[in-house]
Amino acid sequence: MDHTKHLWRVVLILVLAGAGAIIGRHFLIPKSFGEQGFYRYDSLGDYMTQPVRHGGDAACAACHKDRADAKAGGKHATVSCESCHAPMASHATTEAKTADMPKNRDMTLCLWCHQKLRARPETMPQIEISEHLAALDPEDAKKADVCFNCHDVHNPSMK
Amino acid sequence: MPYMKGEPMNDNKEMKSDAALEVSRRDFLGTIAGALSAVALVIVADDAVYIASGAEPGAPLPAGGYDPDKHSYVYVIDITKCIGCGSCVRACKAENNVPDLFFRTWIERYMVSRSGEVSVDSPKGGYDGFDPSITGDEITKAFFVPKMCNHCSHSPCVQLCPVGASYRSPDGVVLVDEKRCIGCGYCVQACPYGSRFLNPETKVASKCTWCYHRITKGMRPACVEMCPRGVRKFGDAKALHDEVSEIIATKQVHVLKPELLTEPNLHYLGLSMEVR
Amino acid sequence: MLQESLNFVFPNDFHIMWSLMIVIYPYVTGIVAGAFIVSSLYHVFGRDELKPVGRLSMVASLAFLLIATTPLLLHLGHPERALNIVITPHFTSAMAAFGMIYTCYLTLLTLEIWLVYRKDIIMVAARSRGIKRVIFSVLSLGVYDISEESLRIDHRAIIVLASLGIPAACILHGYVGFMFGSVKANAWWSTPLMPIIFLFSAVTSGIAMIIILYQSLMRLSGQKIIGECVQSLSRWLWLFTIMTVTLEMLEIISLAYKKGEEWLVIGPLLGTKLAFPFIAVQVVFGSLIPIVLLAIVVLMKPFLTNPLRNTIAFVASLILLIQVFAMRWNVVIGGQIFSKSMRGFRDPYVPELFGREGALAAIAIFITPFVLLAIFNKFLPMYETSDEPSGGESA
Repeated sequence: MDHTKHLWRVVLILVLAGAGAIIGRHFLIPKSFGEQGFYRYDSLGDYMTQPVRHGGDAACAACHKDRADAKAGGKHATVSCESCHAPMASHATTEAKTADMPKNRDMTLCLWCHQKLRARPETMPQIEISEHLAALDPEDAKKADVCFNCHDVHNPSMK
Repeated sequence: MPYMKGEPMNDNKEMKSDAALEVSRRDFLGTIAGALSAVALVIVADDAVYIASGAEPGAPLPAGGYDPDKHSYVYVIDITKCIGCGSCVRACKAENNVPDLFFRTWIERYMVSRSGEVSVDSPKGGYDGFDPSITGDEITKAFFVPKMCNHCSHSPCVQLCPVGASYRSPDGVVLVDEKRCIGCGYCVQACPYGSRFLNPETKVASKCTWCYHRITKGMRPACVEMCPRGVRKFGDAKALHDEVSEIIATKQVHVLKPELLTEPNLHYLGLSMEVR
Repeated sequence: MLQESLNFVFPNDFHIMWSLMIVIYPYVTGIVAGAFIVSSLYHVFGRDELKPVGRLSMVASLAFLLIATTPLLLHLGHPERALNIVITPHFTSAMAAFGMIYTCYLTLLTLEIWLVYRKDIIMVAARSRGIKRVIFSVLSLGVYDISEESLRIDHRAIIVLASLGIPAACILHGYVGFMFGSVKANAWWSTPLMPIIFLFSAVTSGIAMIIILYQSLMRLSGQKIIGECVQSLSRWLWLFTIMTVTLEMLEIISLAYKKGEEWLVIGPLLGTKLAFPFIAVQVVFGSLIPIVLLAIVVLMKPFLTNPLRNTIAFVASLILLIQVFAMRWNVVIGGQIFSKSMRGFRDPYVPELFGREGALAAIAIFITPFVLLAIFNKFLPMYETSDEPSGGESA
């Protein structure tokens, strides 16, 4: 009598389980996986369809040519509109305006770039705010938008 | 071989003896097992293709008329120009909906004293600017260093991802497939630059994509677009007369942690030895 | 050298991400591998004095293996996608090997236990009625052959499986060590010694767990603890503890001596944040005391009574289980304390009490194998009422 019957049953179970796993796995591998490498190629599409939020200065200039021209001729030519205002997406689509663009006139915005910092390259115009405002009326100096008294933000030489 | 046994099996059935039934049942089971293994073999061979495949040209494009094979992106940060304003950090957060507490790009401030003491800070990644007050020794050297994913050619995060969710696209951008990521965090541990994090909302690994949704439309990454001093430069090594690859080819550029041989595609101009 | 003030972490590096669950995982798999090595000492290497724990160590290994994936699932951000690791295993990733290694080892161990218990299973099926009879008939795969010849074949198969199991157990735990050792971004993990240290401490924790389980089981069932067996286990435990501790110390010493960049943070780390869990718990309490205790058991054998030796071995084993846990903690949590900026430490990690990755969940995970063991023992006793384990296998 063959005494290895139970072992052959085990082998059969293992073979069936293994084949089942391999076949099952085959149907679970996502489409486009491995087309270009060890990843799901369609994932690139997921990223490409994400909405763009910053439009860039040229997009702003399409409607606001006056502002763009003023900026282009001055020292803030390289400062992007959206870095002081807000991303284009919160204001307009390519077709129409959807909401007002915020106008933040707080000096914090100016100081992000112009506060005197030891690590800032010396070619960058920097101020120590208390010294800079020393000549002003103390009441004026307290206002958050005091910078705008003297500077035009789009072309920031003295008014 | 199992199929060849089919003929005698039928003969045995006609005999209808117990012993023959026993044999035929075993043969039948054997046939099924054999057939299944044959199917499995075909499937294995089929699946093996995706393992072997490197970059097969001619695969369908994910969307639009963009062809990833025609680009190879590079990035340069000029440390000597950075003013630490944080525009890039704010732009990145807004463009990519980056969760609070985490950063896809950030700015570090280094201040080195004559005695060699290095102090580094990056409050909120530089999102709200930097504190002007300086304490301690006389500072002899100070500068800002914007950091982000280095989009390494030999990236440890891609190597270590167990499910192929982290990958390097044909155009040289290291990305995370958010639909396959299991959120184990191994890639976060593996990144030497601290560029990755587990997004607490989506529970998957997240990182800088070089604004893949922008660059595939011919736009620049948001951080580059919003930088007021031209510190950040984004280029395409496969484009003709590309300014950025020209800088990398001709100037004295550095990468971070070069000893790890991750081969970053983010290069720095004016990097100082204190930066890690 | 540059002076460092150790106060800067990368902004994304502020918290410790791999939690208590990732500490539990290598701890549990270590016990799995270690317990299996004990069973192999008996089944393959013919250490007959270990016969009393031959079955126990095998079943304990399986009980811990069955819960080894739980801490990982509790940790994953997307546990529902866990199968991706076998659907698209990335062969350059150490972690992707998990699916393969775990499945192979589980199959091997289950098969070996099944062969060892096959006669018992058939006996239970024959003795009982109703649903129990059905279950045990299915477990016997419908073959009721317990002839001399078939048992002899089983015995040969067991030896083959147990032999295959040794490299499998080593790979299972070596790979866990490799997962940490291969992260080149982390100075505290990145050493080729890591898989070896993990392996040796795994065997240590496995033997210690078997000493504790064996003595407890015997006490609970009112049976005699066989002194020879405990003596032999203690000897093996002593050897593996010494080797584990030596390797652990060698790693620190070489880091401290080479004084590379990584020592800038690891030095202060050991002096401050890890002073208690590493120096106090892992080295002084966890390593020195058991080495001395086990030395007493091994070297002063003629002067020890059975109960005294058993008690010393029991205490040393308990301390070693704590030592190995501390080692896992110090690797997993310790390796995350410093930021990759190499300039500062992250916020300290204290496990939450409730919650998915909390202390209670960890305790529940750790208790489950003992419950599984008790259930197993109820249906298929590991010990008969006599001192000898039941038949079906011969040395």
